[in-house]
Amino acid sequence: MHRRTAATSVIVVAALALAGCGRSETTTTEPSTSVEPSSTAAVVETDSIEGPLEVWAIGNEGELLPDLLTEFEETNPDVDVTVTAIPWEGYQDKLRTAVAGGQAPDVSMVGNPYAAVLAPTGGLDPVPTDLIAGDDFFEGSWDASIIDGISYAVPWYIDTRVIYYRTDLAEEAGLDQPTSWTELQDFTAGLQDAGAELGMYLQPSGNRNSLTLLPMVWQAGGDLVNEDKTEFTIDTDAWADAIAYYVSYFDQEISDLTYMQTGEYEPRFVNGDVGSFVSGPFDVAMVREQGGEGFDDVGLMTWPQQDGGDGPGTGYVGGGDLVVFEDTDNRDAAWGLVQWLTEPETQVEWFELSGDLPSNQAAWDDPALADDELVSVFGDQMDNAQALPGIATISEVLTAIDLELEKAVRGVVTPEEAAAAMQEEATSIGTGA
Amino acid sequence: MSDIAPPRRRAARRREIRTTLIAWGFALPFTVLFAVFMAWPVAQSLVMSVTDMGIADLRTPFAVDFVGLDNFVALFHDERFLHSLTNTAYFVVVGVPLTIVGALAVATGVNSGITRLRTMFRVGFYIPVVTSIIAVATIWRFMLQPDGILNQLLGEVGITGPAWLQSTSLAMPVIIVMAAWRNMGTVMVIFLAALQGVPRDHLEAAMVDGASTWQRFRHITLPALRPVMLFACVITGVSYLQFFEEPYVMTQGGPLDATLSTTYYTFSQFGFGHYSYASAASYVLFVAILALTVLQFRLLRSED
Repeated sequence: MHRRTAATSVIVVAALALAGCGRSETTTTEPSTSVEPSSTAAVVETDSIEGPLEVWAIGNEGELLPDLLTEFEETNPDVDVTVTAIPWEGYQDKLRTAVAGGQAPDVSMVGNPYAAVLAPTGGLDPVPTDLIAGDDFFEGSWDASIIDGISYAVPWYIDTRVIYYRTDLAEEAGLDQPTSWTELQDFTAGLQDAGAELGMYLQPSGNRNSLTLLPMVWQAGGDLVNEDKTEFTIDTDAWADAIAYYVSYFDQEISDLTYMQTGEYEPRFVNGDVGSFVSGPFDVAMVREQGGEGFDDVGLMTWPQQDGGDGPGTGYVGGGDLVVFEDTDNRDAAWGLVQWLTEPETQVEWFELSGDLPSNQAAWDDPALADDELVSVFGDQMDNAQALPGIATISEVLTAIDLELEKAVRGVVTPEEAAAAMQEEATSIGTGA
Repeated sequence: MSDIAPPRRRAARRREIRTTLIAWGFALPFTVLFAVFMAWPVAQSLVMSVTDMGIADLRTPFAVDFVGLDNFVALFHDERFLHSLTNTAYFVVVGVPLTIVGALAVATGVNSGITRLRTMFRVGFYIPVVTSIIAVATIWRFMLQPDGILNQLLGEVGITGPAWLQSTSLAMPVIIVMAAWRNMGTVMVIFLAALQGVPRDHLEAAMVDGASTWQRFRHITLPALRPVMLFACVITGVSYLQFFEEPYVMTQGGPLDATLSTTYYTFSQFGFGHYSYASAASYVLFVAILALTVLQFRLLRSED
């Protein structure tokens, strides 16, 4: 008797639960990913802000931000900012869980372009465009967080990838800065002749080898999506060319299939095994640290164009953005903080503190950046750099591209087949539009 | 007379109720925690697996549509998922026997063969169990590099070692060996305890009758270990069917998905926001675990 009653009650509860599910009749039949902007988004008062403010920042930025914020708290004595440093590992899950549980902070840093992925949850507060102007920032970084015409994040710092190379090996082999794809390949082969085991470390597999491929695609004139981000444009000559170029480094044994993480290739660069690699600003400090006192055989150069010409070939720009959450209790202070962090003066101070490159274009005029030999190369690359498109499915699409590129590198498929397969996968994933 | 219950029965009934209440009082904390943190998520994910919940539904998890078995059907048309099932099966079919046999050999050795430094051996074989997978994986990755220690040692003997972790055929065996090495300790400890329970007099009688060491092992020790063997196989099988850390840290599921496990696949699907799809994948794995456990019980159940 007990068992039957228990079973019946379980079934009744389950049925009620399922009956209670179901999308609302008033929304469209497909799950909607566009978000209604909050009606109060445009009205933000940042003159006299007060109250507690919870900020999450990731990795190194999380550890250094409190130092920067002492000045903010002096100018705004009624605001009490608490910074929580979270690790890069799994931060996306943390943010999603926080949004789901209503436990999100007021402001958070996210990796670019993750705001676009988070936006469909409705958990982000749209950027008040009367307070923060998109034109101040590098176009690619700003555009990456726009979904359906609404901006959801403000770029905080940028991270662009350039080519690190051993200047002594280059000098020994008498190599000039390459200005085309062919010249770059000859350059790296030349580094091998001068003694390096690997002419260039190119990622052979997974973990975003796609981000090294994408600049090549842009240099060849292609792109990931079309203008209005409704379709993927991967099954094209530009992609096939770029993939073929990437694969040729492996065919010619300038790169090999050994996968190395950050921390593994820098020592090998310093001891001359690896002639060159592609990386962002953080490796400047790492290489200098590995090399120790007196190691100055590292040089940076911008990407060449596909066929040769002046100016850098298109590079990849990523970095960190700042988002404010929709549930915030202190919208004014949150946006006030974001505005302060993205002002040119604060951006220069942050650069001096953390080494992060400013996202605000005006900040680059400051001598601290303009006069630094290595940093200025990053600035040069920013003259021609593109960010990832702001689509909600970017993570999944990049993973699919990673996998197909790996197959091409291993010779399992031809570059054309790889491009076609990437197009098919990406289309089945969709742009979330 | 009939409307007054006999006092003895009433008192007994009250005692019974009181005992039941006390028992529930003791059990309540665990029951509540179990219901909230284990039973509820299990039930919720089962419900999620028959809906179309995605990342856009994060803040409104009940506003989703019921889609029946669509997710499960889609899973079985998904090449990568099917590949991950094959990989997981490979891992379990090779890994479980390897771990059990290895642990049994070590336990038997430590139990009977080694008299001095026994504790050192016990501890030494158990330490891999308690190590951090990150630390272990980093070291192993260094050792397995094309110019790493393993290949250097092989070079001494004249063999050119391959790039272990970059080879689609060798990556999985390497991961299996590493997992067996790591988990052998737990099973070894269980077997060591069980070996104490093997009837001494049977062994002595067999020795007197002239049975060899191997015959004694096969006909007396092994049957006595049968229930413990079942236990070890079940817990190792359940754990291995869900293997995740090794590919996550060592190979990121590569090369070319050669070490992609079903749990890893489920994890990445969750990461992409495909909640209902990932829930369905985890239930498929659950069914596999049930099936394997039932099979093991059938095969290894004590005959009495």
